[in-house]
Amino acid sequence: MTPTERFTRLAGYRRIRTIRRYLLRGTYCCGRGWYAEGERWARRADETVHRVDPADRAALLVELATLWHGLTRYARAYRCARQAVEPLTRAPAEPRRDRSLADVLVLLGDVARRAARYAEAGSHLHEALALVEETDHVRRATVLLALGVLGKDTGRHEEAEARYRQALSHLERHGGSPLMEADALHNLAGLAHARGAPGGEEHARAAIEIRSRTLGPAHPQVAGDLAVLGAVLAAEGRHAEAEDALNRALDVFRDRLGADHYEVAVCQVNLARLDALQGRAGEAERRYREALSIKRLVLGDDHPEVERLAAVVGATSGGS
Amino acid sequence: MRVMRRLGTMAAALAVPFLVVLMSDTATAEAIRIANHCEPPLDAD
Repeated sequence: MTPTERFTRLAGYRRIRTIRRYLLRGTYCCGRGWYAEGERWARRADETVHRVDPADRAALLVELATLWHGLTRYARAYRCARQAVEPLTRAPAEPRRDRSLADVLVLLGDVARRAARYAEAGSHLHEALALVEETDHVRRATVLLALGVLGKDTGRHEEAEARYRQALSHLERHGGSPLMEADALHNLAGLAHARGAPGGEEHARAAIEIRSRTLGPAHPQVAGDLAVLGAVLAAEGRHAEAEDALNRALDVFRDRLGADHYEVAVCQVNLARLDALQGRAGEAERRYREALSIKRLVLGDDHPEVERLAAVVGATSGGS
Repeated sequence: MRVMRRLGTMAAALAVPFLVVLMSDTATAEAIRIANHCEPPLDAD
C-alpha cells in the first residue's frame, strides 16, 4: 500500500467515526425528545455520509434512515433507506447483511404505508419478515408491528390484532425493550378504537405508564399515547377527559415537533370532532381547516386522508 | 477530584465503542418506532 493509499484509508476511517458520533448524538437527542437538536446532528451526518467509501456507506445510511424516521422526518428517512437498499441487496447474503436489509425494508414499508402506498408497503414488510431469524425477537417484533399497522390501515383488523399480539408475546417472553412493548399496547389501543371494541383505554393507559416511566411525561412519544387515549375516550362519549388528553398531547407536539407537524393535525381532527359534537361549529371548522392545511403540506393533495378531510371542510363551510 | 474526572473521561471513552457496536445492530431495530394514529370517522360530520 502506497503512503497516499494509506492516508486515504485513514481519512476514510476518521470520517466514519465522525459520522457515527453524529448519529449517536442524534439518537441520544431523539431518545430524550430533543428533536430540534437531534435534527441538527442528523443533518450533519447526512451532509458527510456521501463522502464515505461506497462499501462502508450502506451501514451508515441504515442508521441515518432510522434516526430520520425516529425524528418523524419520513421523506428523509425514505431517501436514505432507498440509497441503502440497493448496495445491501447486491451484497452477499449473510446474517449481518440480512439484519440491516430487514431494518431498511421496515423503514421503507412504514413510510410507504404512511403515504398510502399499501401494496409497496406490504411487499417491503413481507420481504423483511422473511429475512429475520426466529431468534431475533426484537427485530421480529418490529416487523410484526409494522405489518399490524398496515393491516389496520387497510381494514384487515383481525390480521392486525394477530400481528400486534404476536409482537407483544415475543417481547414479553424474550425480554424486549419496554418502549417496544409500549408501541404494541399503543397500537392495540388504536385498533380497539378503529373497531369500536373495548380495551382501548386500558392499553393506552398502560402505554402511557411505561413510556412516562422511561422517557418522562413531556416526551412526544408519551404525547402520542395521550392522543390515542383521547381518541378512545372521545369515542366512548367522555368528552371532557378526551379534550384534556388531546390538548395535553397537542401542546407537547407543537412545542417539540412544530406547529405544522402531522401529529398536530391528527390532534386537531380529534378535537374538531369533539367541538362539532358539542355544538361549537366555528371552532370545529377552524381546527378542521388547520388540520387540512398541515396534511396537504405533509401528505400531498392526492392522499386519501387529505381527500376525506377536504370533503369535511367543504361540507362544514358550506353548511355554516 | 482530578482522578474522578479522569476516570469519568476513561469510562466515556470506553463506552463509545460499545455504543457504536450496539447502535449498528439490534439497537437499530429497537429504535424504529412503529405506531398508528387514531381519528374519528369523518363521514359522521
